[in-house]
Amino acid sequence: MNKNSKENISRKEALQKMGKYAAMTALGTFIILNPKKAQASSPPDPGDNPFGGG
Amino acid sequence: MANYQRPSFVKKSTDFSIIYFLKARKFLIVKGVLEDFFQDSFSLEKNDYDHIVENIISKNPELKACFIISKSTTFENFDEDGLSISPEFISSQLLLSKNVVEVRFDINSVKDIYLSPYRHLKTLENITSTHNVLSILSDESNLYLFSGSKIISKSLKKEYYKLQAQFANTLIEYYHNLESNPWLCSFHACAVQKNNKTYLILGDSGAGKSTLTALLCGSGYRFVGDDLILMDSEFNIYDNPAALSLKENSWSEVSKYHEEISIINPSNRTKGNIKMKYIPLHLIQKNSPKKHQISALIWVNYSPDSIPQLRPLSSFDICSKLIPETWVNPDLNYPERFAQWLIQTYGYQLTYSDFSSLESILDEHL
Repeated sequence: MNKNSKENISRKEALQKMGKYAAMTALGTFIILNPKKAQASSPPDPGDNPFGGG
Repeated sequence: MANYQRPSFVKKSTDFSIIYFLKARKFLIVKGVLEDFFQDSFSLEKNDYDHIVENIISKNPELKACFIISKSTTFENFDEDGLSISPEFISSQLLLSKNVVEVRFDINSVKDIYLSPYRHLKTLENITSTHNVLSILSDESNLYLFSGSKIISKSLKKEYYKLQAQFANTLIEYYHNLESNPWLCSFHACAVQKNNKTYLILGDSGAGKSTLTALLCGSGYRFVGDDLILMDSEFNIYDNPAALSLKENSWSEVSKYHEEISIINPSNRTKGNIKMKYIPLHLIQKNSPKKHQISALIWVNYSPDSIPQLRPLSSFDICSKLIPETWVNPDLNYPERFAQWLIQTYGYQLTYSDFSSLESILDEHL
């Protein structure tokens, strides 16, 4: 019984938070940042690539 | 409902949090209520977590990219069978501190590009007892970097500059006598040191990173590295043995501080038709290889007629500016170590037009 109560409370809290987060997300600030995918020197300037790419 | 990834970690700073998604390989910087959500995210039931994420994504669709799995960009699994690599190559020897390294190339133009910053390290005589052999060999479409007989990296020929960074990394490891170090991150930056304080110099391409580094090294700073700086998991950065490369438009100003620049011949290599000179290491760094702890990050912006200014940056701005310019090792707990280092690091925005008026500002504030 106690266990069920705790689960119910936890669930209720989660649902309350769900509403809070969803409602306020637009007010939050976020930035997605992609680190470089590979270590690389700067790509060459056009015409500098001996293989014709880049 | 989709199966959304949970963050690997949430690192709290003063007024924002850094979050990392391992499988998407993305950092997310958040302020406000989203911080609360991600702090709570580890204790939420899966269904609740997925439901909340779905709600958040419905209002901010660009966030979806954080919660899904990115395609792997690693190429650790090499198939050495069936490689058709020419047995003929051109060989040079480099003296890296106490290590003699033989470098082999089977394409002359690649050799010219890769070795331009290291000409000052070439040995004049052939030394038979070389310690290491580093080879850049090709087949029809790829370049391969070998350490001894083992392939350690590869790239498409037209993306030869990707392998160039791996080549430079390996030379740094030889220079410091390190066994294939698992680096925490690498910066596209220069670095200098003075009074036991080390500064990383960052900026967009053409902003004047190398020029400022040369000017500082001509006025009492010690050279640490140009273009590529590696940091280990204890937050040490390492001297880079490559020469300092200078574009033609900086030679006149730099020669006021380095008389030798006028007698250094331009390289055969140009960068977008701009002539280059490489200042050899022995002219700007007299000591044996060292490692350093970074005291501050400096974003440089050379702007004609500007008033010299050194402006402190917020931790939020430092994170926003540095992460997209940095390769962070995606393995193990390296991204978390990197975030831990980043939120406690100082940074400045430096604007200047005349170096002579800048010296006193740097001495006063750094």
